[in-house]
Order: sequence, then structure tokens, then C-alpha cells
Amino acid sequence: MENVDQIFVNAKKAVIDLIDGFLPPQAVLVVSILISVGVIATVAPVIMMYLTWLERKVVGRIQNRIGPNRVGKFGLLQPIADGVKMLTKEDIVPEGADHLLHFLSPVLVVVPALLVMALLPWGRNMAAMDVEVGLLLFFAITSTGTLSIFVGAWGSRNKFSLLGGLRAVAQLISYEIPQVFSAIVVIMVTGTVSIVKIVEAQPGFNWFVFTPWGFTGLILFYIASVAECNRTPFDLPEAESEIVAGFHTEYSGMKFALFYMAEFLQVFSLSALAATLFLGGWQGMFLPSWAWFFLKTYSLIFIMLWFRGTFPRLRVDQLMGFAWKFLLPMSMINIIVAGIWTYAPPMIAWAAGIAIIVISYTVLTKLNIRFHIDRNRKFILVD
Amino acid sequence: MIFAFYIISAIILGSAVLAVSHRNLIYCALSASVTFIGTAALFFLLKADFIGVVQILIYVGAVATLILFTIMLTKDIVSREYYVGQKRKWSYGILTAACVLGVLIASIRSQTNLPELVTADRQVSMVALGKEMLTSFLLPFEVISLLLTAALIGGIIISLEEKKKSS
Amino acid sequence: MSIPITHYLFVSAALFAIGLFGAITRRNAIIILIGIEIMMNAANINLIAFWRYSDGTRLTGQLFTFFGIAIAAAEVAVGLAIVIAVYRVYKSTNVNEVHDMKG
Repeated sequence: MENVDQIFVNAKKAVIDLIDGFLPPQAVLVVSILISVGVIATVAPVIMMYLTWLERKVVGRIQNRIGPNRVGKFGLLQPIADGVKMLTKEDIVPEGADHLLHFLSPVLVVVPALLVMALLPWGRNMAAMDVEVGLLLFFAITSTGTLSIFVGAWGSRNKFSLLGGLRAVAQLISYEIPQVFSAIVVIMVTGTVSIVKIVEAQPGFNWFVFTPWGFTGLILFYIASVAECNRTPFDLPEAESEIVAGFHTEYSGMKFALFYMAEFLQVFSLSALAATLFLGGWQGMFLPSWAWFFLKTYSLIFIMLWFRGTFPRLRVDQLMGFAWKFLLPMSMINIIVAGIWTYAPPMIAWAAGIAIIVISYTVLTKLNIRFHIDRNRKFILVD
Repeated sequence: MIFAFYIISAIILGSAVLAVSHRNLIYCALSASVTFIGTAALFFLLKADFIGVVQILIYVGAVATLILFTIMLTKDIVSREYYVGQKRKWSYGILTAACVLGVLIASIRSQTNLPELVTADRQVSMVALGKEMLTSFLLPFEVISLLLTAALIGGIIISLEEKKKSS
Repeated sequence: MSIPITHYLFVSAALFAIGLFGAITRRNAIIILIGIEIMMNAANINLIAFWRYSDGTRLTGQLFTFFGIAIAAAEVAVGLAIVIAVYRVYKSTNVNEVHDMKG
């Protein structure tokens, strides 16, 4: 079982041993890094392609129809057909647009999405970059994505794209705060910021999700991640029925494919991070570690695709209100609960934790719903 | 390792020159972001991982976004100072900056007992940083929290639209 | 064969001079703020270089830089709020055109 678990690590070690005699040590280091990076750079687009297939199949089934099934058995070659279509489309650049910004923006959006894949632990001993500040680096790199979206919105010289881009940036920076606060709970309890050590702090089956703060943290982190990826129900900036297509209206062909790829890569990496922080990463029994990792990540991705088929879209004021008035206070209260958990004896910690979370959830929902009820009542009275 | 320092320094200085001298404001802001990322790379090279991450988070994630938002809201994209006859006034600025640079370089060169690189590998754990911040540096920590609250409230109040007083 | 500290100090000094040039010469308020941020970055590079090249007993360099970054971020936020407020009255971000006291 140990062999299957470490199969990729041993394969890489065998390749490194093979070339070790021929090259000086610095070159061996560079080749080792290139192997890790090359594997990730090859696996990531394949993941993204079959994620698009999975989305179309799942959303199709939810909408009581079969998804793509013509190209290959079960439509498995559909992503390749999509790729060929996008590559052969004409690349239209609007006349007054800034050519440099229009060219750079898709690249700048894909780079952070691809870069954070090196920080995730894909299995035991399988994190390409084992930095001590790994989790903080993850959040720092994803926060540079907001800049790239703004550049893209500006570079198309279209007022509607600019509006969509501004809304997207406002949404992204609003939802970063509950996302980071939900992750702070894990940092507090484990005492380390390194993702590899956070996974090692959840041995066997006692994952963080089986604690009151972990459960709340997972839900808050997951909702904030869904908003960070611009997925339904938070996809106001880029939805097809909204302002033409938001900030990537003026991009066609390969550039649109890059935007699309960045979104799905972000879906994968944020689901993987949620699985790593709260669901125990690659921890589990009977299966190899990388199999557990993909199982947990794809369950969370399936829930995200399920959201897309089920929920209607939020309006922009509802979106912002949700982040600032509900998620932010809830995540702060979660931090207090985790603090109580660390220092109180187990019975009191469980009781206090669950009590505080339930009370604060009811209080916050009552405080937030009151305005909607008042607004509706006003309309009925006027009628 | 040595090449990394020279390449990063070239990137930092080149993008800083572009950031302060370009005509288009958006290019200035984006070059400033490149400068910030280059500075973060220099921090990683100097083994200050935490500060490098904080630099990316705050400067690129927040300050650059703020600057771009302000540029968009004030709509003065091609800066109106590039009229005829105004460019020669840059020579005074270049002269001042060159004098300051000369003084700094002269003072650096005149130092005799600058420290050498002692340990090749030093990692500071974040636990140590946190403990230090809450024991020796407690007063600056509290003052920073007050400052950030004041900046938050002040920023909102200053840029709030005045409500039109209608009866 | 490691890099002597003077190289880092030269880079920091050059970055400071470039930021100073931007803050003095340009007349657009936003570029002046960018110049100020570049100057603060130069100072931070200096601090971290001295921290690295000292003995590792004290963490003063890193924490000083951390507080400096926080202060710079707060300052640029308030500065940009002021730029927006001034723009509403004068319809311009050129600092030469903002020359009245009454708003």
C-alpha cells in the first residue's frame, strides 16, 4: 500500500537518480523543479478540460436533459472539440482598445490561478512547494487576480465591460475578507501557516470538519470561495444574461479560452484548499493519499456545480450585503468559538461552541431579513 | 542565486522609472505593481518570507487596486501636464534626485564596518514573529490598530458624497 | 561568494531617488502618491537587508517593516480619498490647479 501511495514520489526520485551522475548539483535541482512544474502544468489544463465536461453533464442532468453525448462516448471528447473551436476562432480586438492591455489581461488572469497549484499538497510528500508561509502565499497570489480583472475590463474600451469589471473587483475584494477569516481559524488551532503541516495535524479521520468551528468554517470558506470564483449564485459580473458578458465581452477565441480556464482552475484550487484545510487533505484510510485528495476535492466541486444548476443569481446589493453583513460577523464569531475550543475542557467547549454559533446565526439572519420584509410590505401597502 | 538579485534589481528599477515617467496613468499604476512584486521577490531572496507575502497581499492586492480605482474615478487618463513646453521642467527634478542619490551613495561607500553575511540559512518561524509582536512590540501593534481604524473611518467620510439637501 | 550588503543598499538608494523624482516632478496627484509608495518600498528593502545581514537574535527589522507597510497602506488610502474629494470640487487632479482655500 505504501508503494501505491508514494508512486509519483518514487517515479520522480528514479528520474532524478538517473540523471544525477551526469549533471552538476545545481542543474539537478533545476531539473527536479522543472519536473514538478511540468507535471502540474500538464495536469492542470487536463483537469480544467474535464471539469468543463463534468459541469455540462451535471448541470444537464439537474435540468433533466443529457449533457453532451455526441462527440465520443458519453461526450468525453467534447472538451477537445471545444478547444479546437476556441483555437481556430478569429481574434477580434476592438479598434480603440489598448492593444497591450488587451493582450496581457488573459495571461495575467491565468498566471495566479496556475501558480497556486504548486502550493497544494496533492498527496503525502507531494507538495511541489513546501514553503513555511504557504497558506498566506496562497491568499496573496489569489488576491493579485483582482488587478488582472481590472486590467482586462479597462483594456476593452467598452463602458459595459468596465462596469462589469468594477463589479467583479468589488465582489472579489469583499469576499476575500470572510475567506481569509475562515482560514484564520485553522491557523489558530494548528499554530502553523504551512499547508503541509495543517494536513498533518488532522491524522486518520479526525478532520477539522467534525468540530463546531471547523464545520462553520468550512461552510463560510466554501461560500466565500464560490463568490471568489465568480460562480452562480454570485456570477453577476460574467453571467450570460447580464450586461452582455461582463468584463470579458470583447475577448474572443484563445483569450476567452484563457479566461474560462482561469475560472475553472480557480474552482479546482479553492475546492482543493477547502478540502485541505477542513476535510483533512490527503488523510484517510485504505486508499492512497492522492486518491483521497481527488475524492474530497471533486466532492466539493460537485457541490459547486450543483449550486450552479439550482440557485438563482443574487443582485449586486444582495451580494455585497451578504458578504459584509452576514459572512464577516459570522466568521469573526467563528474565531471566538475556536479560541474557546482551544482553551476550555471538551464538554464545555462543544456546548459553548455549538450554542454560540446557533445563537449568532439566528441573530444575524433576523437582523438581515428585517429590511427585506419591510420593503415587501411597503409594496403591498402601495398596491 | 547571484543572477536572481541582479535580474530582480533591474526589473525593480526599470519599472519604477516607467511608473513615474509614463504619460498614461494606467501604465504608471501597472508598472508600480511590477515594482511592488519585484520588491516582494527581493524580500523572498533575503529570506524574509512573511514580509514578502505581506508585501504582495497589501501592496499588489490592495494599494494597486485602490490606485487603479482612483484613476478610473477621476478620468484624467492622459495626464494634462504634457502640454508643449512643460517637459523641460523635469531637469530640476532629475537634478534634485541625482543629488540625493549622490549623497546616499557617498554615505554608503564611506561606511567601513558594514556587516557581512553571517548565516547562510535562517528561517524565522511565524510563531516567533507573533510572540515578538505581542510582547516587545505591543505598543506599536495597538497604535497601528488605532491608525487603521482612523484611516478606515476617515477615508469613508472624506470620500462620501454630500447628500443634496432637498425638502 | 555572496552578495555584499552594499549592493542592496545601492538598489534601495536608487529606488528612493526614482520615487523622489516622481514625487517632485509630476503634477498629477496620483503619480505623486505612487512616488511616495516607491520611496517607502525603498526604505523597507533597506530595513530587511540590514536584518538579514545581522545576527538573527532580534526580529526588529522584520517587525519594523511590517508596521511600515501597514502605515503606508493606511496613508495611501486616506490620500486617495482626499484626491477624490478634491476632484469633485476642482474637476482636476493636477496639483497646480488646486490653489484656492475655500472649497
